[in-house]
Amino acid sequence: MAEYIGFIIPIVIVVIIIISIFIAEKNKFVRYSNDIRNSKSSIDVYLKQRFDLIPNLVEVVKGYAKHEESLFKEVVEARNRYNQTESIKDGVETNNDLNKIIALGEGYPELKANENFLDLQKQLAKMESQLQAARRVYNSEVNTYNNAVMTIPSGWFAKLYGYKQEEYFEAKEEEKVNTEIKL
Amino acid sequence: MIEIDKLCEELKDKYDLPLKAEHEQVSFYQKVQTALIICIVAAILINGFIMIFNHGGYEIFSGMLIIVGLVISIVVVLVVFGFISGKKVQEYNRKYTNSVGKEMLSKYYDNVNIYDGDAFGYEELFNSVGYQESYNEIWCDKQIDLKYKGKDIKLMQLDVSHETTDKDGNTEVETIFYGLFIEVDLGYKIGTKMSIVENYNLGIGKDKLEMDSKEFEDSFNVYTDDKVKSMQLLTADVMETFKQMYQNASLGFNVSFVGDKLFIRINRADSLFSYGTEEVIEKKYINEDMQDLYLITAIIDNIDYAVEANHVL
Repeated sequence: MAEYIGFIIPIVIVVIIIISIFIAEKNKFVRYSNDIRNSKSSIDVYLKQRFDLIPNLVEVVKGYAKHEESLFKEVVEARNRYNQTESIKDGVETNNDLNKIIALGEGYPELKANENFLDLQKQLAKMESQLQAARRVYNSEVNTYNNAVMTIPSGWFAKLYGYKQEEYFEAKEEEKVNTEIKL
Repeated sequence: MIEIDKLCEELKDKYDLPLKAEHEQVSFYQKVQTALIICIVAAILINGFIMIFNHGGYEIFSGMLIIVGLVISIVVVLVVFGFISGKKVQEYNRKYTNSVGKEMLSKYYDNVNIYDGDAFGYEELFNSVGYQESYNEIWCDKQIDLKYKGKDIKLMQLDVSHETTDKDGNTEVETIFYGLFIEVDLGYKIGTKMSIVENYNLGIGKDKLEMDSKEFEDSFNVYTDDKVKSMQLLTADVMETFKQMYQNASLGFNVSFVGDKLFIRINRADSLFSYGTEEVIEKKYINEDMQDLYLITAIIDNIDYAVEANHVL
């Protein structure tokens, strides 16, 4: 037995190192995925907080912008759709419609002067800033994760453990224009 | 940013004459001190040569004794002279800080107060940030109380080090931090512990925040308890300012937020308001000091703006 010790010990050390690498890589991807999941859920929280203000906003704007009935209907439908699916894509669309309603204030001076509208605008502006920050956090984390999935050697482990690239939370061009809410 | 050439001219007009005599005296003391040290080194070297190239003999032995006696005499003169010179330098340093330094500070700040003793409890303040560094020596050279746009600022020139002694009795001193340590009372709480640091050792905040600017990440790491709040604060403009400031600062800086306080650590090679030996007002030192004094205001301005524009509170 003693003559095999010199041979077995290096093999055991190599096996331990290899297993440690596999465990470390697995843990890395678990950590990245958890970070992305957390960021996604904070986006969801901020979107829901914003969308909770939709009924109040529609109520206030309705009195001044009667011709925008289709937009009001659209935003309520989009919000319901988002509540059912909770997909980021639907969230982006609803948020986009919501910003269109806020932008209506520019075309109706009386609406712009309404205290309730101003208060809602303030709340929405704060939430929009939080949402944008949450989106940046999410995209940065997806970027780190995707880099790990796409580069060698961590990409080999990603494939082994079944981790795939994640999609970025991209704001539509139209939304990008409308997100700046002037106070 | 203040124009340095213009400021130097202004300071020269005002302080060249009143400080000239004392500056010359201090320069003289420093030059004599250097000359004495050179003499000691030269005498030791000569003694060494005598030992190497001659082999004994009464005359040689006597020569060596004379040189040893000479070295001891110069050392005694140097110690006495060093004591007197130290006092003079200290006095001049105080005078320079209270006149030229105060004038420089007043270019950016209000209510400038320079203290001699431990006015702020600098060690407690330094510890209150929660840096994960160990040190056993902390020394404060300057303490200055300031106001900027109504915010209270405490500025300290610190020397923080860790002294270890091994089992053979050899002592090693590692510098942990040398430079300016600044506490700013923001007047509002951003609602998260956060740090923007070069070195992970200085990071406070439980998570590392992945940033969306590679250039920013090349210089800084961000640690925070609330990623969204920190991202709201670190807009593209704020990151750009930090990058520019980092490029201008010769030795780097770190920023931390704890409660309603902002802490800035600026690494430096020389003490704040160091003076040269050639002239009363030396552009090199004025430029370095003004750069760091401006950095503090630029960080405060950027943070204030981002907090308001992005509804962080």
